[in-house]
Amino acid sequence: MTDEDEAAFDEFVAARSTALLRTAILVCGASAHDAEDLVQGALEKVYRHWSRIRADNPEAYARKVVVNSAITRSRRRRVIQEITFAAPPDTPVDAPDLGLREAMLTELRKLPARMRAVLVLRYWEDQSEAETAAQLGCSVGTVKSQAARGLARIREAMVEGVPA
Amino acid sequence: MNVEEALKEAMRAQVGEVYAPPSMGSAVRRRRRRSLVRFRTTGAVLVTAAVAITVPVVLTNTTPQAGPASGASAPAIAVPGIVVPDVVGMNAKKAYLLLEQAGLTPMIMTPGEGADKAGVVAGENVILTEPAAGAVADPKALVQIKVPWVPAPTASPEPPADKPATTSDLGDLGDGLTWMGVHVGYLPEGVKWSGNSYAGGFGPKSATVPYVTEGLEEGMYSIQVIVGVDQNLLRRDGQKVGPDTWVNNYNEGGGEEPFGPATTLTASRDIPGDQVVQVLFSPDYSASLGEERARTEIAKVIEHIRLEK
Repeated sequence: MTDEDEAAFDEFVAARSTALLRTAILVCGASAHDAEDLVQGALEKVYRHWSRIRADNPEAYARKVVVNSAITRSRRRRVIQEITFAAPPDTPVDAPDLGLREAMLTELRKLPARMRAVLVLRYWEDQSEAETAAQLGCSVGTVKSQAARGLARIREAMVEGVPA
Repeated sequence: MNVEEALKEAMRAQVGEVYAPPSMGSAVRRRRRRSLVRFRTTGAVLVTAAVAITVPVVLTNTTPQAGPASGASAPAIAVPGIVVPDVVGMNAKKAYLLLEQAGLTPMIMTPGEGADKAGVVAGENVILTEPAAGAVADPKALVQIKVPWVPAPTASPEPPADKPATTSDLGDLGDGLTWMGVHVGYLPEGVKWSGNSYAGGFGPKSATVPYVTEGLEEGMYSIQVIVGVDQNLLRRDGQKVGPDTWVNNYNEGGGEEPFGPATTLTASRDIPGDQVVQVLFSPDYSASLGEERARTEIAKVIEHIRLEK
């Protein structure tokens, strides 16, 4: 890599790592610390191929790596998560809004990893259906159906999360 | 509020306040270098980590000793083809810095043969490099710096205190299980101290000791334990096997990869105090145990490392 490549990589990291980190946290449902490690791993891949991809669309490449490794990682964690999140929260809900938000996030974490990734890319990253499909390597139809099913489950959680 | 908006709001609440640390770029580079070092030394005792080297030495002191390629003082990042400087006879640490400055990837190795087991340690002066001086290497190419075996200092278990930053040994460790304030409380059957130890290769206050099985070629390890204060030694990924303890396999890219002949099974643990400990099982040794047993054994080895009061 040339000095200029190195400088461009630094700029890229400074500009994009926070966004990548946030996406990673949402997709893998992990702590910020675990997600940071994951983002570092993804950026290392970007760095390895930097001179080739920097002119292309390094952000899309980096996001793709982050999302896919987050999916892989969350699959591994899934069993533990089911146990953790299946238990009802022992603190009473303070405010309806907070309870609702928690219920939604809990439901989001319980979704299958790929379905969660679809929702994060569509509604957090504001990606189009086509862009989401390209990132995940699936068809637009799959994105549509996964998003619909994911939203349906979140909606159920919303209804249950609001105290009657 | 519709469900999409509510979901966006919830996501924003969860991560809106999270920011990536400013050190992300350097962390990525360190990780890249470290993984390269680890892979390249597969099976061979890892004496020093490129990442952990601090550079307190004034480099101009060493430059005049360089051979054909003493253009080393110029930035050599994008020069295609670098002539390997002549560093034979030089202190290995200085040679390391010089080669690194020339744009190569140096690595300090003990020779793989010619030593009679225990009673010897790695010497400090370079006997040869591979590729040899004068050869043209690609930028960032690996250059092995070989140092000889020299008789181990007898008696004094205290290493000379006047050169803490150089790669030197810890002296006679007795059974080789207690050093740098830690005690290695468990080793699998058939594995014992190699007779070697190396200090300073993994940053300040670091040392590493290789353990071997019977009949292993000199310079190779079966199990290697690294202790240091550099937090980069701690990799918090893979399988969590105990408090602050992780086990994982790393491939060439430093990425996680299923157990296999090209990966190094590695356990990392954050021990009380400021120290971090890492245990490496060589690919050959891991293969001889099989994955399940290797994972059980590495977890047991790292679990039984404790602070020596």
